[in-house]
Amino acid sequence: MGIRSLSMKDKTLIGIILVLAALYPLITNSYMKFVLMTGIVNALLVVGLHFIFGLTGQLHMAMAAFWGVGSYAFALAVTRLSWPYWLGVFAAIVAVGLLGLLLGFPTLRLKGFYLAITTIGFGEIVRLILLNWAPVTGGVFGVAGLPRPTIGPLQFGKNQPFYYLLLAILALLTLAARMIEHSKYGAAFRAVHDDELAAEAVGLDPTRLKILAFVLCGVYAGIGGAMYASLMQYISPEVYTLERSQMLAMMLVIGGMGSLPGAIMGSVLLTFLPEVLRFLQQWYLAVYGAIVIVIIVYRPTGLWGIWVRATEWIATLLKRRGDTRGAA
Amino acid sequence: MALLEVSNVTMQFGGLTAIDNLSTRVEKGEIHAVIGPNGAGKTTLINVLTGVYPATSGSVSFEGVRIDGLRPYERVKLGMARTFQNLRVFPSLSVRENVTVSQFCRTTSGVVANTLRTRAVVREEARVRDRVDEALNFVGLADKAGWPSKSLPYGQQRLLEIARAMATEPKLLLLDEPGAGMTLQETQGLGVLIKRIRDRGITVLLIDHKMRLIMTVSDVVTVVNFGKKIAEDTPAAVQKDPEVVRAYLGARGLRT
Repeated sequence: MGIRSLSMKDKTLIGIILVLAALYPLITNSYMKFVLMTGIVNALLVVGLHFIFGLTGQLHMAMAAFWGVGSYAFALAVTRLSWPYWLGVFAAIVAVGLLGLLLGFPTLRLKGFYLAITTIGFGEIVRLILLNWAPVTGGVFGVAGLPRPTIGPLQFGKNQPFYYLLLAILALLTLAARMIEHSKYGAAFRAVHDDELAAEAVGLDPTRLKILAFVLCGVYAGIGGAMYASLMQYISPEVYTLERSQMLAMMLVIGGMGSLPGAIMGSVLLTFLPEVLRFLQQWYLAVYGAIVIVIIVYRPTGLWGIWVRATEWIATLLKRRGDTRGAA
Repeated sequence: MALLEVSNVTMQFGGLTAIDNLSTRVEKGEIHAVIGPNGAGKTTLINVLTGVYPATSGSVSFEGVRIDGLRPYERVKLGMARTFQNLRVFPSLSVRENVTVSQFCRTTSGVVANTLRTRAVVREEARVRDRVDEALNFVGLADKAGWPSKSLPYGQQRLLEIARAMATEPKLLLLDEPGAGMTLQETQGLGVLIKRIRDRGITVLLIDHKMRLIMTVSDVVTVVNFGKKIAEDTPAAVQKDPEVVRAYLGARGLRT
């Protein structure tokens, strides 16, 4: 398959991964390098959210709970149980996948805002358990001393190799998400998003599809949670808040709902935006909010929509220049 | 054995009885019409038969099996498909994708196989594509397969709904006012299409207001009024039934 036969979305996805690969050595500030790494971890979570929120259209506001359970399952498995690293990651995937199943079942009949409120409550319950079940989770002190991975002779202890491992995982999981999106499941998810009654009338089981989307989201959040814990090497319950769930949902919306390249763009850029605006000091949150509102109001298709418009504009500009040169 | 057997079905919404102790049989291979004035309970009947509403009492059997407890998608799997009176195409899906999702219930491949796009999935997708092409060809929308479904004109969205229903591979197709909003010419085309569906061995249960359409295509007509069945016979006989004339066609007789 040649590069020309790829769709615009696929080309953009490849481009984004290449740009992210080239970006790391170009950033000289070591703090900003670390921000970029958190951006990649956020992208793992947002690509997971894309299944349930972007494609299936369910307002899932407990993403921080998924992410937190992923982090803790990994952290407790590798510290308390002394499991090998990748078995710990697997434990995180299974734990959050099961959590997706658990959240999926009671919410089968809920739609829209009712689902949003239920998932918010669910997220709070998980946060409080992480905080207060001290004998297991370590309570407010969290879990420290978390390892970075090794694969055979390869060591990922230092930030640079770990960054490229994270990027490889993101590339792989994005490819998997892209395959699912283009399969019969992608169309079925979108049909449920559009019209549940009509979906049932053509033989789709909306409940089963929603649970599936929740579980897929859980698998991604499990990996994202484990990678976050491994990146920070220390976790504590105060990060897995409703505010972070909202932030992850916003990354998807700003990126462009229902588009995979948009999900990654939104994750990375919104991770950086607060850092870039930090010089504004006490005003930075206000400016940050204003930028978000402007994008949502004037470009509801998000960064993906802006990108599509920009490439079309450049293409016509190049074509026009080519035409005039041809005429002369 | 009738393909669809409706026995003493009653559907109440609070104090309102939308369907009142209605029984009928839809025989295999026929075009069976249900007519009645506005508010007679026709659409409610379709919703009860397809499982959108659970009937208050009575039973529905499909191919001799009780189906009243089944969800709509389970009935589709058994071979019942429907269209909607008010259009319900999937707006964010293309014309082709709208029909493709109907094949979902006829495929077996799982998520992991689809992520890896195994050889079995590729084969399955090829088979689905053939079925979808056939359904689009059947209603004459093959050349618009790539269009966004919402950009189709009204009458063609109705055809898309029929193609979508056909792609579930039904034995019984329930058409809820397929002629609503269609021009005279489009309605004539629809009549031909309905007969072609029947000629493929698919039984049709048709609900409509358009008398000319009903009278020219139907084998059997059931007339309902205030949720009750008041007549059931061939189109010619029903037109002469004095009670039908009084309840529905007007005191002065048939107008088309």
